[in-house]
Amino acid sequence: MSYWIPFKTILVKEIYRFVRIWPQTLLPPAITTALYFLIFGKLIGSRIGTINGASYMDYIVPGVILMSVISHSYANVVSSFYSTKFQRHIEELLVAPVPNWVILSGYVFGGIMRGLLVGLVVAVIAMIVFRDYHSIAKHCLGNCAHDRNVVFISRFY
Amino acid sequence: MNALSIRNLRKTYANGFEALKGINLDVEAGDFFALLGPNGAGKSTAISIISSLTNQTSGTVSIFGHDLKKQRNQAKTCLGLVPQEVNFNQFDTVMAILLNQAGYYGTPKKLALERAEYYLKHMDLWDKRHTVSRRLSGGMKRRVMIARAMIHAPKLLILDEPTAGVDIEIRRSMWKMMQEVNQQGTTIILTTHYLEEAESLCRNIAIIDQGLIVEHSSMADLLARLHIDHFVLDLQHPLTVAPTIAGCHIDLTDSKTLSVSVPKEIGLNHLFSELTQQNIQVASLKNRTNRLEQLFMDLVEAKTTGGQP
Repeated sequence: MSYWIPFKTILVKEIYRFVRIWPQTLLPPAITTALYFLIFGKLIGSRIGTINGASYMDYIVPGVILMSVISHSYANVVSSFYSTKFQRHIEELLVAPVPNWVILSGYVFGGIMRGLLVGLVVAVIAMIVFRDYHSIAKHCLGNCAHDRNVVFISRFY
Repeated sequence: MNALSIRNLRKTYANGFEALKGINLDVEAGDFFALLGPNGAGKSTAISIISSLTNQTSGTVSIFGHDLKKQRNQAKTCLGLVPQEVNFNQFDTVMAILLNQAGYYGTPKKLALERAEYYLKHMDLWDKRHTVSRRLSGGMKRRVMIARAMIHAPKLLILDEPTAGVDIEIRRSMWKMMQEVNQQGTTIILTTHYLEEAESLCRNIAIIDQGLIVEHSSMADLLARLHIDHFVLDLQHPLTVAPTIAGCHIDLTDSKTLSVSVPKEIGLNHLFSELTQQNIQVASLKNRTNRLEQLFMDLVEAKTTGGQP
């Protein structure tokens, strides 16, 4: 028996789950990272200046993106599997001829997909916040602000 | 070929409780089989082991010749389970529940869609296919679970109290549906506390009590063992004292109601002729208890007291 269909079913079910409840899965990282970028990146980070030519934003953006990817991919597997067990619909999987490694793979890849999507959302937020920062810097401080973040963001996206 | 074959199945839980004490059971392919027993007898434990939700302590289970331990996937493919309690994702739509289950069994999407349409229409749920399942009524949820169990076309369907808590109209429609499924060749094992349901639907029966099979025979053989029938007679005129008829036990429940136990060898004709002689007019008659219910109580009580049924 091919396990592609069971694997795909679990994966699609997982993606559908976190997309359906986007206010719980995608919105919170967007808000928390936006706040983080605004408070630490924009207000405090702008006062730090550059170190070896890299601004504070250059320094924190990749870390915050990866932190979101890792924590949310992990959280997705944990919360989804826990609710599956708590609501007892894990029995649907246990009764079916699906080996444990297929179930595990489906949930892990579901978590990876959520991590990647959250990473994308955080990256977009970073770009938006950065553009604000750039424009504020440009208008308030004139041409003195040569922001390395442009270089950083363009390198990654 | 046996649809289900259980040999010396034992289950002892971690706390030392012995739920199954070595049961042996055979269910023939195509049968409509009743597995009865009081609460805590071991029915659900046996079903959990058959459906791989619990591991047995010892013994073997084979489904259509596939050993549950050695050929687990083949055995699981033959089996459909309708559990006692709702266990689907309450946030999924009815269609999603069915398609996901089909996917777990490796059913291609096109075939799964065809089957889902067939079963949902058959169970009067087609209009609810896009409804989130938590918004369904209790009866609808039960029917969703039956449709879900049928979506991969199992050869053996286990129904663990499928009609518990549903109204009589839905219960009757579910009986009709179960009979149709059975006529199409699916073997059905039914556990229920409605013994009328088991009596009218099932051909063979096993009664399990305190982890042991106390009866395993055909329904007809079992019912033939009843020696005494119990009736309630509504009288046209009130009485003050219960009449006396040799061989029958008669109680006056109230002034216009008699509770009568009639041995088979005496029969109803004799009872009525005696009552007529005593100038007692009977307005109507009904069975006091379901026949199987009486047998069930006799068997379980005999097991508890160590006597003969």
